Amino acid sequence: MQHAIAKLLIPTAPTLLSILGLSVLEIFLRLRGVGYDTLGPLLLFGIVFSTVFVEGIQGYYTAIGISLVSALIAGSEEQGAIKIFGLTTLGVTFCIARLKYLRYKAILQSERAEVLYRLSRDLTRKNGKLALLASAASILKREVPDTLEFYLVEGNQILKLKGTELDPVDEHLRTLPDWVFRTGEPAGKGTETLPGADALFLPLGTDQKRFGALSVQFRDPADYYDEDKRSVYETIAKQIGEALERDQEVVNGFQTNLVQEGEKLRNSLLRSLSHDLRTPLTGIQGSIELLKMKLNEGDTPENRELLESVSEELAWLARMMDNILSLTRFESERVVLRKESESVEDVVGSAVRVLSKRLASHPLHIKLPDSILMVPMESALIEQVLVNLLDNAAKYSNPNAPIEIEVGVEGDMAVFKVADRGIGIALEDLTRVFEKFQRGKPEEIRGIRGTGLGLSICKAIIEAHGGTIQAIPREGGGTIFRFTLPLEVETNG
Amino acid sequence: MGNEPLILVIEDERPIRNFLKSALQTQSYRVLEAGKGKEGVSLAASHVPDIILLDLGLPDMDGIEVIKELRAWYTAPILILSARGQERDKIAALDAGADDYLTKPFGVGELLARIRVALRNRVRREMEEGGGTVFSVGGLKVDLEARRVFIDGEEVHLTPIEFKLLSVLVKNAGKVVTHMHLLREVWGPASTDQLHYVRIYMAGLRKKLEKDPARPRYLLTEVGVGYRLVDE
Repeated sequence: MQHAIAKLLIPTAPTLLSILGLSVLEIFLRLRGVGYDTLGPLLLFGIVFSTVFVEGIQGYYTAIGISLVSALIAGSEEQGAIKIFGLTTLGVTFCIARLKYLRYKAILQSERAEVLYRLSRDLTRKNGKLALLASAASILKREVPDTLEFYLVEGNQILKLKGTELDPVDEHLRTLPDWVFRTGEPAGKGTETLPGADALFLPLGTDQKRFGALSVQFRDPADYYDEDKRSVYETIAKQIGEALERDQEVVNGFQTNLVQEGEKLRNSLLRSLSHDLRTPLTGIQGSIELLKMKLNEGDTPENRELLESVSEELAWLARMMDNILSLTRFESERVVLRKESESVEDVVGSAVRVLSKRLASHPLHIKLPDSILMVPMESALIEQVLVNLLDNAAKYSNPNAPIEIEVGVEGDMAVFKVADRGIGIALEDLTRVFEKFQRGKPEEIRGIRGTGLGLSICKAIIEAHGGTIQAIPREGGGTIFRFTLPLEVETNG
Repeated sequence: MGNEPLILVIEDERPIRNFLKSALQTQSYRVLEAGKGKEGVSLAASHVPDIILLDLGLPDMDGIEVIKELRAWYTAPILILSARGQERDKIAALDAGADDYLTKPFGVGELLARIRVALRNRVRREMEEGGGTVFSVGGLKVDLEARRVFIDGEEVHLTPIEFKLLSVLVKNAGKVVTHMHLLREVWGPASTDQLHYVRIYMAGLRKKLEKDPARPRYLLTEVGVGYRLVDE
């Protein structure tokens, strides 16, 4: 490294030649009797020109060289004023050099700030390692002149970003990214570790966690030894590392969350299965065994009643199954609805038919719009919503209490209402009843069997359709369940 | 004896097979059983049953495949047994040539009614070729030849499309008819993207034929699948 820097610092042949040429010219002019009053401004011009307009360190060499030569020539003539002139130009040279350096640093810093800002802005919008890296790569390709490569270490594999894909790296190219990933130290060209490489390798990650490596091939070979240039890429590598870390935390957090949610759901489901499903099964088993014993009695009202209760319990179990199935469908996947334009009359009529036995004792009033109302929906799901709401209405009201169904249009929404004269829902429970495994207060539901699934499924179904559902206390007692469905067919529906 | 209809049950669950067998034997139907699709297809070929009850979820073969194999030569009714929430499967089965379906869990009453309908349809189809063209159920009477419809003795005037829609249902009375089937029969094969026509015209038909269209007596909705005209 020292050797390389030394090589870089050695004045080049053109520099030496121009210093030599200018010195010869100066001596020649002096011998011809040209005075410093003429030579002075010329020399000053040459010095300023070479410091300001010749890029890099060679310009300074030229300027300093000319100044020193002039000072020497003038000094040999023992002209005090000229000595001072020589020293002054030397000072000016250094001042200009210093200014130039500061300006260069300032530009570098503001460019760096700009790149980093853009990088952080874009990276916060991305999810997933690959997307993050690909996005960083495309931003940096536009913003920096040097060639960058990204390496990710995944288990035993070292992957290299190619376009928007990650490809495994060949065995012989693994050494540097692997070393950098393991040690967290820079390596490759411009460092003391494997300086023979064709690029500088920097660790990609934060102080806490490393993800891989960033390799830099500088366009200007001198930049390999420029601490400022390198620190720009170190900052970039760290920033990308932070984005990767954030992403990983989000993923980890999401998974923990998912696991916890799933756990909660499974626990509640198990509780509800073991308790709520056992009850009807016990009823069925008891009734069937009684019937076996009483088989010789034949067709008695009591036996008929036992059979009737078995049918009812079975119907309840079947509805319960439908709800559990829908729940798993809505929990486990992003639901894609199969919407078709359906007539409201079809779906209301069908729901009422499914529950005809259960609703038999309740006076049922159905009010539909006079004209045919077509609403985009997945009919089996909306039927399930209506079945659940009607089932609740029957469950939480007296056998002879009326139930009303009303469908109308408000703006661009179809509005469905199922109203009962049942026990009602306490004000503070009006939204809670739509949550999973939540029901009304125990003293209010008075041991009426339920799992707290029906309404949460209704809510999931209606919201998936782009509508809303709410429970409204009814004047004079009871509850109105009101839900809406958009009338417009979505373009993707 | 020996002339009672022969019914082939293809179903992998033994308890359900037993229950079906008992239920069918109460009506003195003769019953053949198969637990697998292949076995069912070969039993069908050797015995040519009058009706086949086919479970869609068989272990060895896709139910739709069984229907396709059978329909290559078998013309008698095929009834599907399937779970709820499988509307697409039902439609696929009906399109592949099944005649009707029962959703598990179903009651014995429902099962026997479907079998009666299937057997009767067969008889009716044969009769139709002889010329019987008046259908009646409850207060509804449809004269296909004279193109006249009566409710409780009073004539109802239908538009040509409504009549065509009703006549397709009458010809398949008791059976489910899919939306797509109705659309093709009434509007022709070119209009298959106009499924909502069927629903709109059905609502119109109900307004003319049903006392309470939201609780229909004759024209039932099979949600997600199609319509069924009751026939008993």
